[in-house]
Parts: sequence; C-alpha cells; structure tokens
Amino acid sequence: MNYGFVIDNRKCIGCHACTVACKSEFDVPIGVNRTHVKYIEKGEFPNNTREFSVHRCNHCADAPCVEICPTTALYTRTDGIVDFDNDRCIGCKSCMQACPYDALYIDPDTNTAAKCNYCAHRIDGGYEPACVIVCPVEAIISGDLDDPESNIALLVANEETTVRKPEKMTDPNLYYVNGTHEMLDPNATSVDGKYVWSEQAAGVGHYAKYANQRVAESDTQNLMIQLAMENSARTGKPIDKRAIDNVAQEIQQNVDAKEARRVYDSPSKGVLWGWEVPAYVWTKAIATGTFLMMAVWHFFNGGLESSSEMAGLMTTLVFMGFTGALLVKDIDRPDRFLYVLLRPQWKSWLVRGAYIITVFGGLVSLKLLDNYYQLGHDWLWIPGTLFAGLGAVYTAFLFNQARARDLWQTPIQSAIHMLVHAIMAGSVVLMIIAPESIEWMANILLWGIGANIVIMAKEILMPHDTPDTKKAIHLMTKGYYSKYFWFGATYGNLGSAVILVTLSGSWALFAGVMALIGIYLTEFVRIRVPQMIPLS
Amino acid sequence: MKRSWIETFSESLGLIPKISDRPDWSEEFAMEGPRKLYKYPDPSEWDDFTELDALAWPEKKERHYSIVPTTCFNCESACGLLAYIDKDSNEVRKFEGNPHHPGSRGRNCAKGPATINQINDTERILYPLKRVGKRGEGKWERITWDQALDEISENIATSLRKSKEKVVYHVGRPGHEGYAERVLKAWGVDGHNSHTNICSAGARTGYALWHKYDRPSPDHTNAEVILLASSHLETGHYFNPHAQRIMEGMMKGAKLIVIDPRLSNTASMADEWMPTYPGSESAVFMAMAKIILDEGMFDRHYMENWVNWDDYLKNLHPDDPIEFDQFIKRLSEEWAEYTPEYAAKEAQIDADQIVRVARMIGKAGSKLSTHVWRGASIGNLGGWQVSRTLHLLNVLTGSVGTEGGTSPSAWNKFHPEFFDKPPGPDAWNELAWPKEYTLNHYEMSQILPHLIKDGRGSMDVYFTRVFNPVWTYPDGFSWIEMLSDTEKVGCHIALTPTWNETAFFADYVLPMGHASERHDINSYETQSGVWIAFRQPVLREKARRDGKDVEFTYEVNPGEVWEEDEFWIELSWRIDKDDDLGIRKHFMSPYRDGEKINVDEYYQYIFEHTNGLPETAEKEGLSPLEYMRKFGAYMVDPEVYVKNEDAVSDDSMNGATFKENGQIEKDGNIVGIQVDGKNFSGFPTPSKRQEIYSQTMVDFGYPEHATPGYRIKSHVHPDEMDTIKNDCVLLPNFRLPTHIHSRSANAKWLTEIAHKNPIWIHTKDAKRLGVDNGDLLKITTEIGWFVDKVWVTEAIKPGVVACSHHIGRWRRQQDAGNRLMTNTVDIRNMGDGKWKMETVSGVEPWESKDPDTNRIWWRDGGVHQNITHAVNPDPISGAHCWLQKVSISKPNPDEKYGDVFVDTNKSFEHFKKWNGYAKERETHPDGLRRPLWMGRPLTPQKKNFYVE
Repeated sequence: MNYGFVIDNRKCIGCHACTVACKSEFDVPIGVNRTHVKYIEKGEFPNNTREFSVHRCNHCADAPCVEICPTTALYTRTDGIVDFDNDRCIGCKSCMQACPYDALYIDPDTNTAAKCNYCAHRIDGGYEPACVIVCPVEAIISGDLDDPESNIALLVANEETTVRKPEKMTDPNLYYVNGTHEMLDPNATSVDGKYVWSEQAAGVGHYAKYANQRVAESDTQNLMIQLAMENSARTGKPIDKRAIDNVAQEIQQNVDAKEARRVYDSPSKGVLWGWEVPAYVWTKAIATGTFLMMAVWHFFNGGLESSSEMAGLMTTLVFMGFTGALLVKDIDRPDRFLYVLLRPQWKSWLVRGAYIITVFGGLVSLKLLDNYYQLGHDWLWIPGTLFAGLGAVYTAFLFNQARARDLWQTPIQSAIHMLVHAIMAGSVVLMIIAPESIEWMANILLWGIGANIVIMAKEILMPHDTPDTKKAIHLMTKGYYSKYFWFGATYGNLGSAVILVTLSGSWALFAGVMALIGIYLTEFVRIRVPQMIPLS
Repeated sequence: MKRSWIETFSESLGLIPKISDRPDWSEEFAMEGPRKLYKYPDPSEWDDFTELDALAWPEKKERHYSIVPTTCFNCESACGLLAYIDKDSNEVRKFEGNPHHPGSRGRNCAKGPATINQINDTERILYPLKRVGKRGEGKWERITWDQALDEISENIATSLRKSKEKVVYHVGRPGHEGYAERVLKAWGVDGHNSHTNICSAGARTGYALWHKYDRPSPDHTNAEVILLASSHLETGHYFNPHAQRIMEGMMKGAKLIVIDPRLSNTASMADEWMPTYPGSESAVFMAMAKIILDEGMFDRHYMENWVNWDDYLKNLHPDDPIEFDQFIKRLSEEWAEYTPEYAAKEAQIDADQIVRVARMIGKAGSKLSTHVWRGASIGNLGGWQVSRTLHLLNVLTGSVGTEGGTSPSAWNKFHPEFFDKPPGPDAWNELAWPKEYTLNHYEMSQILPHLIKDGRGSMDVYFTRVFNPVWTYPDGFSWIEMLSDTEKVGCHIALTPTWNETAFFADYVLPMGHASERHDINSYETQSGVWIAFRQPVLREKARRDGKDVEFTYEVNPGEVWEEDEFWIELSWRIDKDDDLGIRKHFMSPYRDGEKINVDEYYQYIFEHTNGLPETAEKEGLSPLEYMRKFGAYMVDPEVYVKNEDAVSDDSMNGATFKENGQIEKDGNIVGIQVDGKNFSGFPTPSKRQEIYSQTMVDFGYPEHATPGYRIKSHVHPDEMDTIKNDCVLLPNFRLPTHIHSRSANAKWLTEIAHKNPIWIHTKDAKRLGVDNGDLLKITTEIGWFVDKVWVTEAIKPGVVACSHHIGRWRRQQDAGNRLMTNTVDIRNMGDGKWKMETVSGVEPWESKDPDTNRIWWRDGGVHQNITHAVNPDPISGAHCWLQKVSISKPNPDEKYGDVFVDTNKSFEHFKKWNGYAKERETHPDGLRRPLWMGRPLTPQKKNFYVE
C-alpha cells in the first residue's frame, strides 16, 4: 500500500478551496499552510497565460525530513504516508532544512513542526483527505498508488506526469499532470512577497510571535529583511525603507529566469536557523579546538603546565556549555531538549552529534578531575582527541542531511573545513592560556588560515553543479551578506595572516582574535545564505 | 513502532512523558491490500458520527459529531454544507460539503469551509443594538429584541396608516425564495428594493426581451462549446456548481471561449480568450451571428418554428411576403455591417479569431452553453445588448433549452408554494420605480439617494438587509448624506450578521444569523435539473435531536443572534397589534386554527407542497420537513429541457383556433405553438415565441432596438476617451474567488489570501506613465479620485485598468468590526458636497481570544475605489454601468496611498445628466409605466401600472 496524490493541473482553477478546507480540518494558524496554491503568469498579451498549482508535502518514499529528525517526530508509515507526532518534536527545524519542497512550518500554537499528513486521522476511519473532497473540479486525486485499479494508479499510468525536483532523489509520491517547468522549478520565478492581492509585511510561523510588535510594511525575497524587521520590531527602531528597497532590488537581480512571473504564493517563513546556529558552531570550534591543540601539545611537546592545562580544560568545558546553551536556545521547544538524547533517531546527525558532544563533555570533565586530583590518567587524551575531532566536524554531516540546501551537500569538504576552523580557534585559545605555546600556535594558525583560504576559494571558484549552489555562492559573494563574508575573509584571514607573518610576539594574539571573528562571519554567511533560496 | 531502549528506559524512570507506545496505525490495514476510501459519511451515521481529533493525532481521540446539513450563505449558490457539531461542547467544529445537495454535490469553494471563521468571529454583533447620540456617531447601546420589535413595529404601523410606499426593505443578498416579498405584500407596501441593478439588471433585460425569462441556465456538462462572457470558473453566481460542470464538459472535450478584457483565471483556462475592448462584446456577437447566418450554420427548423420572424417581417417590411427565406434575406441585409473586420476594430482583437470562434459555435449546434451575469452587461451603457446578442447565438444554433445548450433559469428553479398569498400592493413606489424608467429590470436602487436629493420622496422606515451600499455601491458619500438625514430616512434598521460601513449609519443594528444560524429555502439554476435545499439553524436541529424544545432560534445561536424568518413574523404581528391593519391574517398557522404561524410550520407547508417530496420522504419513514432537516436538499427533477415543448393543457385547447403561423389562439390570447402537429405551450411572451422582433421596444419608444444589434456604443467607447488627458477605462467590478463583497472580511482564512487591490495596468501603459510595480497612481473619475498602488501586468488589455471592488473596507476610529480587513480611515466632510477620506492606518494585529488576530502578517487593506464611482443608470435596463471613464496621473506629493476624494455635487449633476437620457425617450403607451408582460418583483395590482 502506498498512498499518494495526483494534482491534475488540467482542471485546477486556483480557487483555494483546498487551502481553506485544510485550514479548517486542522485549525492551522494564519500565515502558514499545509497546502497552498501558487500562481504564475507567462507570456505577453494577448498570448499570455496564468497557471495554478497546489503545493504540499510529497510524502516521499525517501523522506529527508524523516532521516534528519532527531526524535522520530517525523516518520514514514507502512502505507506510505509521512506522518508526524508533535508530542515528540523539539522544534529544532532541521526538517525544514532537509525538505527540498518547503512543506513544513513551525506551528506558533505549539512551537513544533507541522505539515500535510495526508489527513491520516481521516484515512484511519476510511475517509479521503479534506482537500480532496472539497475541490470543485476534483483536481486533487488521492489513493493507493500500489493498487493498479485505483483511479490514481490509472492516472499515473496513462497520463504524462512530473514531480518536483526529481534530482533530489527523494522519490516523491505526488505527481503533477500538466506540471510545467516554470511552475514547479522555484528558480524559474522570483519571490518577493508582493503578489497580486497579498503583501507580506510581517513574520509567520516561527516568527509569528512578534506580530504585535511589527513596524513598517515591505518585504522582499523574504528572509533577511524579515529578520531585520524582527530585530527592529523587538528593539522598536524604525526600518529605513530605502535600504530595504535597495536590497530587494539587488536580490531580484540574482534570479535566473524572468520569462515567468510568480503572481501569488503563500508568505515566506523566513530564515529558520538564525544566528544561534553559526554561533554554536563557533563556540564548538573553540571548545573542541582548544582540546585538540592541548592534545597536540601533549603528544608532541610533553604537555602544558598544569595551570595552563586546567585553564584550557575549563575553557573547553565553558565553551561546550555555551554550545549546549545555544543549541537549547535555538530549538523552539527548549523544554524538550533532552529528547535529542532520550528519544534518539540514530540516523540523524543531530542525535549522533549530541551524543558525541555529551561523551566529549564527559571525557573533558573526567580529565579535569584527573588533573585536579593529579591521578595521572593520561590515556584520557586519546578518546578525548577522538571525540574532540568528531565533535568539531559532525555538524558538516548534519548539514549534509539538510538535503534542501545544495550548498551544504559537500560533507567531506565541510568536515575538513570545520576541523580547520577548530584548529584555528584552538590555536588562538592556546595562545591566550599558554603563552609558552605562542610561537607554535602562531604557526599552526598561519597554516590554518592558509588551509581556510584554499577551501573557501575552492568552494567559490570550482564549477557548481546545481543552480541553487550557484545562487548561494552568488548571494554569499555579491549579495547583501557579501560584505560580512568578505570582511570575514579578508580581515579575518588575510589581515590576520599578514600580521602573523610580519609581526611577532603578542601581536599573534591580536591576529588570532581577528581570525576568530573571521571564522564566525564566514560561517554565519554560509549558514544563512542557502536558507534564502526559495524551495517552492 | 520500534523505539530505542534508551527512550523506553527514560520513560520508565519518569524522565520524559510516556508516548513511545503510539503505534504506526497503518500497520493494521496496510497489509490487507486495497482499501476503499469514502468521501462523505453516510446520512445514516449523521446523528452520531465518530471522527478522530485531527490535532490529538497520532493519539486516537474520538470526537462524536451530530452532522446537520445547511447551505452556505456566502454567495447566492447556496451550496450544501454539513455542520459538524461536537456532541460534547455543542459547538460547530467545521463545515464540509453536503453530498446530498444536487447543485454542489459535496464540494465547495474556499468560502464554504471559511464559514466557521464567520461564525467564530470575535467581533460579531451578538445583541440587538440601538444608537446613542447622532446617527453615524458610532455609539451604541445594547437593547432587547422585545424593545427593538416594539419600537420598530410602532414606526412601521404609523407609516402604514399614512402611506403604502414609505416602508422599504432593501436587500443585498437574498439567499431565500420569496419570504420577504410575501411579508411586504402582507403589509400592503410597495416596499421592496434590491441590489440587482448594480449586478445582473443589464443581462436580465437583454434576456427578458427574448423570452421574458431573465437569466440563463447553461448545461455545461453536456455542451460542446462553452461561451462565457464572465469568469465563472472562479467567481460569481453560481461559481462552484458551474465550475464543476464546465470542467466536466471540458474534460469530455468541450471547448471553452471566454470574453474578458482581463486575463481572469477563467480566461487562462480557455481554448479561446477574446480580450475584447469593454463595450464591444455585442459587436463581436453580432459578427458571429452574421457568420453563422451567412454560412448556413443556423438551425432552420428551430428558427422557423420558435422565432417570431413573421412579426419581424410584418412590422419592419410590411410589403414583403411572409416567407421564412425572405426573413433570412432581410436579416442578412440588416446584419451587413457586422463584418468580422468591423467587430475586430471595435473590440481591438483579431478578426480571424472572431471567424474561427463563430464557426466553432455554429458547429456546436444545440450543444452551445453560454453565460453572462454581470461582466460587460453591467459594465457598459447599452450593456443589455450583450445578453440579447449572446442569446441570439443560442437561438440561431437551436440551443435554447436543449441538452448541452442554455435554458432559461426559471426552468431549473423551483418556486415554493406559500401557505398564504397576500395580493400585490395597491401602490407604486416611485423611489424604486421612477416613471421615466420604463424597461428597467429590478429597482433603480443605485440612484435612491439621488432621487431623494431630487425631491422625489422620503422613507419612514428603511431596512438594509445584508446590504452595504455605503461601501459596495457607487458614490457611497451620497448614501452617507442620505442616511445621515433623519428627515429623509426616518428610521434606519440594519439587518446583518456582521458590522459594515452602512450599519455605522443605522438607528438599529440587529444581528441576523449566518449560514448555520437561520432558516431559508434555496433553489437555483445550477444545472439542467431542479432542486431545493434547506438552510437551517444547525444547533436548533441538534437540540431537536436531543429532544429539547426550542421556540426561537436566538436561544441556540451565539449571543442573541436571531434570524429574519422569525423576526418578520414577530414584527408583523406587533405592527398589527390591534388586528386592524389586515396584516395578522397573513401570519396565521395553517395547522393550528387561530394561532400565529411559527417558522417550522412555514417550511412544513412548503415541503408538503413540493413535487415528489412527500413520497420520497415517506420511503424514508419521514415527513417532508423531517426529510429536509435530515438531508438538507432534494432533487425535484433531475433533468429538465425544452419546457417550451410542454403540452398545452386540454382546458386551453378547448375552443382554440390555429393561426397560419402555428400560434394557437383562444379568446384573443395566444396560448401555445403548434409544431409538426404537436401543441406546445411555448414561451411566456406575447407571441409565445423567442422574440427576435420586440414590439415592446417599439411601443416604449425605442424602435431602433426592435431587433438585436450593436447600436449603443458604451459610455467608455474609445471615441469617448481623451488620450491626451490619459483617459482610459477603469474596470472595477471583477471579483475574486475568495471574497464576497461585504461578508468575507471577517473570515481570516480568506483575508489572509486576498487583502489588497492594486490597479492592474498593462506593461506598456505603465511604461508610458513612468510607473513601476508598487508605485502610486491617482485615478480620477468623473466625481472624485483615489490613490492606489500599481500592479504592472500583461494580464490586462492595454488601455484598460482594473481594480477589484472586493477589497478596500474601512472603519472610522469610533467604529468596530472586521479588523482583519479594514483600514482605519478619517472621513472629513469639507462642506459644499466635498468629502475626503484618508487612511490613518492599515490592518493591524490585535489581541482577542483568538490567537490568530495577533498574528496578522499583512498591513495593506487596499483602497476603497467604489465610493469615487459616478452613478451611471442605463436609460433602458436601469443597470448601473460599472465601468468608469477615468484619467490617470501621478499623485501630487501630498496625496498618499489610500486617499479618496469625492464631490457629491458633481455626482448629483452627473446623475441628472444620465437621468436625462431616460427622460428624453420616456414613452408610456396606453399610459403604462412599463410592459405588463415583463416581470417586476413584488408585482403591484394592475391599476398601479398606469401613470395617473
């Protein structure tokens, strides 16, 4: 048994009955949708046309959201429906990074993730989904794709159908009849929130909580403006409309095709992994890097002075604490943070990473006690180093599981990159806590900067295999956030390297701090930018 | 589902809640093989239907529902709805479709399920209100229904003793069959007014001239060619049922032709989109008629037997022999000017397309389904020509009333039998039916304030019922002026489910129930059959199922929301409290002697007298009323075609003679038509045929319009436009699939989809004016101006700009309601007829018991354009010609988004100019005000049809 949908665009009249029937069935809050209708227009008068298409979860056979969800809040049923249990959800929003179709949202009532679940509660009683029965023209067809005599199977067998983003290998179970390229490819039309009869002026879903603090109107190709508004809303400062408009225009230039125009769509949900995520990657780099450099010193130089080592281990622990705190702060249900460890879905790198850093934290604590009581368990350095390394790089694999974000689909390169960052960060900390190590660490930092520059250059200059990657790189290097990126890259890397090469002594510390800032900025941009690329 | 031991262990330690044992519920049936899924619960389960709670899932929490059918109240289609009443909370959880409803068949448009928003609107009016302070001040006090009934009935009684024309019931959305008309007849007043003349009056006139029936009923499902001068795949009457059937027809191979200067959603699905210049549509139809005639594609048998071609020849060519071929020859001569090239030039479209489409239509023969309701017929001066020439195509192809063709609406509509039928009033209300308008269809509602300003009369008691003229009508400031004058409007009572701009200027605001909170009977021409549906207060039916007695609907509705059916009974009873006005006798129960009728008995009687319903009900072991309460709808006749071929009654045939042309005559009247030896009842016209020649037009002073044609150029014809001044046509009356005038503003799921109404302007025009998407433009009408944002698009004909009149709602600082969609405005009366409206703020979130009101993610509430529109009453149909001649410019630096300005003195002058068009041709043959054979709502007694 395999439940799926066919959306028959030969019939769809774009009336939104399905949108509202679904809202009614689940009392979905305004601003977010489990299903929505997209309108595009093509061509020149009088040979122009308008198309409508219904978009929602594709109930993929190989669902990225299920793979990445740390708590099995999302799961695939035996009958093919990808369902969810919001009592298990911690609001980590990884599913929204994984789903290439933008099907999920954060429900502002429960602060947990939600999406179309094929009206599983109705299926249980033997009834079709709410959207199917309301449609005036029966353009949504549901049924068992495995049953060769069902309407849906016959349609799929007899008509030409397309699916969204087949290259993502998600094996979707939602087929479109008459799904045109301009409609189904999100890059074929621009997204600016200003549509034929709607205009987004404030956040939705995860960002709905700031509704009553909203200030000005305006929106753009979503996201960073909305975030600016979010911040501005919280601080009460007015936004410079001119700046917003300039940025909006600039982003429009980054869009590929202009032959088709998106004239109606649901509101943008914003950048869901905010500053907390690059921040915890940064604090984690410092924590694991510090330990790694101490381990290096231990293995190659016989170890640091006891007090320096204590300071280092404390630093590691403190920054691991920050990392944990940031992770907890980022999730929308911080009260359920323990679920990552206690309701583990082992395939998810969020879970694996959580265990890694938990074990790492335990090892560091043991080493700290060992040092304090001078028990001499030096063997702790070995597992410690292993888990420090894993702790430094696991996020690369988590980002790789975020299959919606093309830029992050380079796990090995990203892992190495994160290791380099950890080493750089660690070297700086060591310079501070162990002045005896400054020369070594300065060298390591210099080599680290070199490696960092090579990796960043490779990412930008090597040919990109998908349009979304190209877009991300373009936004990173030429868009609104490019100033942060280039500042981080030059000031933090080149500038730092120059200082390290030309000056000596405690100038290295100064260069180190510059490098740390650079790491944060470049990581920030690299995490933000792919989230600005529309998925539907 | 398999869980990690860590999870189960942690749960056993109490570290985390125990939820790991929730299974994959699909494992139970996934292995069984194919499983049938149903769409709707069977009526046998409606008393106690179990469904799992959607939000508790995957925890299985059972909810028990009592499912009660009703009909939607958002547009006139009255699609079936099933209310799911939670048996624990006794509240409606949601609305789904009613599979038993023959029109909607279980499906709905977005507005159907959104009804729950309107029921749960936190800003609903829950109690009767009376104004405190001056009218329009915005201060209200809560009163009891008793007080409202006593005071209003007193007002009405006083007026009735002096006049039969000063109590007026003005309806926007009727949603019922004949209830209010019967009440007004019982009071003896000619007091009915409606919104029809800003809606379908243009089209109605065109159709009525052919065969008295004033609306079309297309059989889309069986058509081969579907021709729409409308946008019925997305909006309008009867959008949902029609869209279903248009798509059915198309999937079977029917071709869709859409006539619209704007690329509507409907046009985007068309095989042929004809983007005609507004007002040229009749020219295009005449050109197509000419091609069909010249190329011999017309249905000769039909034309010869069912068209009054002999009258045509006798009157227009009296020396000609009365032969059909001679008629064709003369027709061809008459239509010589309607070449494709001529029409293409008027319409600014391709001549080839006209020829191509004409041939498609000709080939369709009897399977041509056509439709026009508003669109061009209500947009243009002479718009009634659009329906007249469109119907001509049906006549030529022999597709009037055929399978796959277009029937008159009346054939697919059921007229209920009432328990008591008061006679028509002995009066004629000249504020609704001024004598200079002789052929208008429905009341001259849009010039009511202007007629009053013109000194033609006043109103003692004025009901605005689900009617919002201040906002929906053109020239709303003239309405505000009229309503603010307590001399001209003695008592204003707003009957409405929700606050609206007109209610702000009322004396009483009385909340009346919505779709699931009132009684109505519905029957509409949605397909080739005939059906009735029952709208009922669902909680009242639930109470009955629970064995509880309910006397009045307000006992079960939210707050004290009532319903009109019961209100009118009580009010009428109190008006005639001394039983000396002759009103009470029309409200006596047909079942209990000497007792006042109640709402259940009212409908019991109707259902007992509905063909076939008692028998069908009995098969279920139910009375007719019980049947309708349970199922909500009944199919009276699944298929009705060619009713003109109904047999003439034996009574009429007795003593009748046959004329040469086939007409059956008795006692000086034509009673039928004989075709091929059979005696048919024909059409309800003087000739009993389709009247290609209208003697009525000749008699009433318009001989040039005796036959269908394109003779009146629109008031927005290109010849009227001064391109130097950047004149162009504003198309304001296009509708959205998710909204319905004033009633959907409090439906959050609809307003989040559509909340702004920019000006659609073609890329070329935008470039010429130097505006980009989102820039501001000032649109200056003949009486004022407004400033709105621009939507640059290819989806509109160059030279035409469009703005939807569904958006731009407002309230003043002191007003309440509809905050999801209303801008807060400041209105200033600057004196000398000048009014200025400025938007103080857009839509803002607010706190209420619904957390969604604090999540409003839009600010833009659009701009109110209707109020700047000049009234354009067509002299023949009386229809308000919606299209506005406007000039476009960039706003001055001090003119902001949402600014509106109107000069009501100018609008009065404009009214007088247009009123003059009717006066200059005013003709009263035999002293008649209007043709006796043409319909008129609330028909007065015959003697009143004559001018004194």
